[in-house]
Amino acid sequence: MSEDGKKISIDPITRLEGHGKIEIFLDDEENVKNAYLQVPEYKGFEKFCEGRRAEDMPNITNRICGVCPEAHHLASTKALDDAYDVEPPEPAKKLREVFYNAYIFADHILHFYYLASPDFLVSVDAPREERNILGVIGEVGEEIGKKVIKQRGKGQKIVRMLAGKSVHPAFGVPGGVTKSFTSEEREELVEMTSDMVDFAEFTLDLFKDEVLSEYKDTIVEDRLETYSMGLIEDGKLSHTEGEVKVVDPKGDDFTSFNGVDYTDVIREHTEPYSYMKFPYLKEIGWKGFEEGKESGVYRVGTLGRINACDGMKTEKAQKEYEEMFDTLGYPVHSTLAYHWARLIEVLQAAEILQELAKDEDLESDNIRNEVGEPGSGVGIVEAARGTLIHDYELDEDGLVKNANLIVATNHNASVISMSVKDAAKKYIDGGNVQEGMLNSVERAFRAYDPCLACATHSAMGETPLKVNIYGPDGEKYGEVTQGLGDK
Amino acid sequence: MDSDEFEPEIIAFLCNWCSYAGADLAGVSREQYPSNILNIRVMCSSRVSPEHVFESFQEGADGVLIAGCHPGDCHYIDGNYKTIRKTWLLKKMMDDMGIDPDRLRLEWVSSAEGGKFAKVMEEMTDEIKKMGPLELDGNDLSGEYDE
Amino acid sequence: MMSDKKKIGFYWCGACGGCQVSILDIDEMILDVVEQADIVFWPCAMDPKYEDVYEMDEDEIDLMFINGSIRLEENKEMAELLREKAKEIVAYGSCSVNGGLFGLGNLSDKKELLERGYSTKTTDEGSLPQKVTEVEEGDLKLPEMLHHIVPLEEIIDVDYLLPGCPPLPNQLEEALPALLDDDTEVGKHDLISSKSVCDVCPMEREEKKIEGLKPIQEVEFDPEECILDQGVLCMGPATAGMCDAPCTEVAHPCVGCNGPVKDVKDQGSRMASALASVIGVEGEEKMSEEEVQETMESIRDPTGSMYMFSLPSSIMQYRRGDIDE
Ligand code: SF4
Ligand code: SF4
Ligand code: SF4
Ligand code: FES
Repeated sequence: MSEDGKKISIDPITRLEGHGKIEIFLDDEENVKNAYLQVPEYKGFEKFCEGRRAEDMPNITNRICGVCPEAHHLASTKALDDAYDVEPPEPAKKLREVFYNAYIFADHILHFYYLASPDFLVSVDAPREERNILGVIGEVGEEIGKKVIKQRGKGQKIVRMLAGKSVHPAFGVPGGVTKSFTSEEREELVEMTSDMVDFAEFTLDLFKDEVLSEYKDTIVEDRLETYSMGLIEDGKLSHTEGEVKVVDPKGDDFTSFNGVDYTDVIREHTEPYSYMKFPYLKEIGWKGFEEGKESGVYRVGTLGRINACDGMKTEKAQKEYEEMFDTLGYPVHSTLAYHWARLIEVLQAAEILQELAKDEDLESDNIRNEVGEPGSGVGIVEAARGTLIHDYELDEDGLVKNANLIVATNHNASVISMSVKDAAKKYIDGGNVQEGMLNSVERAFRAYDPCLACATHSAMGETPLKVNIYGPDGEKYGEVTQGLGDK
Repeated sequence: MDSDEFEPEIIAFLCNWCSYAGADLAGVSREQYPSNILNIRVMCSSRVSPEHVFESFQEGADGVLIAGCHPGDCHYIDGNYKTIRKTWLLKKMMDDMGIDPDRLRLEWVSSAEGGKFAKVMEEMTDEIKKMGPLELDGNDLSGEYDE
Repeated sequence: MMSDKKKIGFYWCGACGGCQVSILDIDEMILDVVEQADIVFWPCAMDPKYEDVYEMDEDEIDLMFINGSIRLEENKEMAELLREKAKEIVAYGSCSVNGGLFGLGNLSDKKELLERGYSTKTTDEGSLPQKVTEVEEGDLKLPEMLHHIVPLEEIIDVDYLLPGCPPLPNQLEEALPALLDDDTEVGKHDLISSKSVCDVCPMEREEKKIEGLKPIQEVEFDPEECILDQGVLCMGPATAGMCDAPCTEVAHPCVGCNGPVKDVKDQGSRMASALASVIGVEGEEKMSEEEVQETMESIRDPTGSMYMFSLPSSIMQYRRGDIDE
């Protein structure tokens, strides 16, 4: 406990993969002096990946995150392609694309409806029974609720058809994949993808009608001007192929990179109070938790990507893209626009799936190419939450000598900390914590897509948060809670 | 005798058809071999599973011997070939788990080789004495951060 | 409001989140669960805020599912606390039952684990995460890492073991109703299959002799034929088969995520025995001991690949440091 200042702990916060907590310190006037995001979670992957068989890496690293295992699985497989100097055959690439877009679709849907929408759609005084495990149903109506479950389920099902399991898929091998679709399965795929586009459009409309119209001011207000990062393929927003582009806070090109060159662009800052590292742009340097062009802080994820690209890969998504920037201007820095960008990606994923489903290549047997000698390789994909980098060095037996992993949520560590601090500053005044603070801190978090907790949180209704306020002597003199009641 | 001197505990898995008889012979012919050895009779060296070896270490053994019939003489034809393969794997795993692979020894001892058995045991005891006791630090979960 | 419904809870220790998602993946079945039980404690609900749990009565929760591994001090403390507050504890998922994938960290000591993570080629030099950090405004605390990972049942008494990484919907369809119904007797190990993955695998294993193991990427691969018979490591023979073999079903080797079959302690040992009997070459009788050993050298990283999910529950559990260099 601090000797002189007062400290407020928000513990737990739940919008991260794993555990997290926020510590807020007050100054003498009892206004917010500083806020720290701490992540008390560590596994040591970089170490225990050493000595492992290269081909096990996609199955080891998908356990980094059970919400986006597909992203790790593919990043890892791509790193192995690179390390073994092999290009997968066309059909394998298409199958990976199906696998990946199904994941993006399901993951984003889960996030928007299960996590984010209660922030906007629910009236806070809805009775608890309606905020149960399928709370969304109570909020948007049973018909829509069922649709949501069904559509998300489809994404998961497509992943399972190829990879056996949706959590911790088994699919990618160096040089290709282990399975293609049978013709019955592909028929099913065509059938399944038939109305995904409609659903994506419906969701965007819902967002515009219910969220945008009512919350536009908040959306515009809550902003952080930072660099943006995302994968692009021929200028278009991509999740799997292409190069990573970085644009500055004004939206001008800053740099782009491919493969191992990421080490020229990204460095990771460490703080002794957190197990999570804080990546920043090497060229600019680490200037602390600051926004603006002079600070190396950048954003990834849906907003980072949409700022970094010149447009979407598909027609309908492109229209939505234009509408978003027409409405909010370019580049977009409002944290809450993450949601809008997310739904535009849902639409692109649905369109890609619908198109790919028609492709007979998905039934091909030609799904693996012969590998070369093991060497070093980098695999980069865009996970739902942002750029994901796997970098391996293999020895001559194909065992991992060295692994470096930069995980999506990591890139956003700084901006998340900053958003939280902003929210705290706004709502804590003279030691008084206003009701809106909890919400607002939470909302700042959720925009970045807090991963797992998202799923679980809305299942319980509102997120229970607890802020403790401590006096100078370490005595607790107040607390504000939300969602812990009903006991 | 110096009572402080470390006396290693060794578990010897002996194949019934050759090595056990060999050890027996060593005993009968009063060959001198160290006393801190627990002989366990198995039907064939291949019946010794990695589990048995790991359990032995976990239960306090400082060394483990697997002894079987000479290659070609196994009562079950290729049992001892399996033993060779298994032992190779085991030693690798032991190495990864921080147990010196030399604490496990595989020897071929026929029923007539009482002298060889005694010699092997003596050698092994000496070697393990040099290594010192296998310290398994129980289940202590703590441990300080190192700066 | 009082209700006579069961009170259940979920908590995650050092986890990946997959075990939580697996509960969402049972789709509508969750409605039946909610019918029978009140969810009083959900991972993000109270999380590391101990005092909320402290306030609960003893045995207030009827059935508590704990997933994730015991990696940090905090995980251990929370497990101990929940033991007091819950009548019955389910170790949920392989991390909780067998130590799980993060248990591979037991091959190193914790210092190595920490130092390596903060000395990668992109990481700035700086101090490692500290238990207590003094910042300008005060102190920030972090829970400490434990020396090694252990299965949940070594920390607290556990009533049921439900492995899987994560447990799959078919497992939950069986387990949940049984656990929630007082009249159904479920033994601690009853949710672990005594069948192996091979027993439920669609591919027929002929136990063909193979000359050694080859990396999957170097094998011209027949997706219809048993993977191990083709000379590629598949953990099916040593792994419990509750999952119904979804991985081999899509022609991908089983990586052993369920841990060992019922009543077997050491998955890696089981697999080592299986490999020792299945590997063999023509004319072996004429080979020297060294030559026989050479056939084994094709097995890369046996410890990592065969204990990938169960090192902490294996007999040796973790690296001892007999050989320090
Ligand atoms: S058992 Fe598997 S799915 Fe569950 S938390 Fe552990 S790694 Fe994740
Ligand atoms: S493919 Fe694997 S699980 Fe299936 S029978 Fe062969 S070894 Fe067993
Ligand atoms: S087949 Fe093997 S790897 Fe796949 S789910 Fe079952 S136990 Fe896990
Ligand atoms: S019978 Fe002696 S080794 Fe097999």
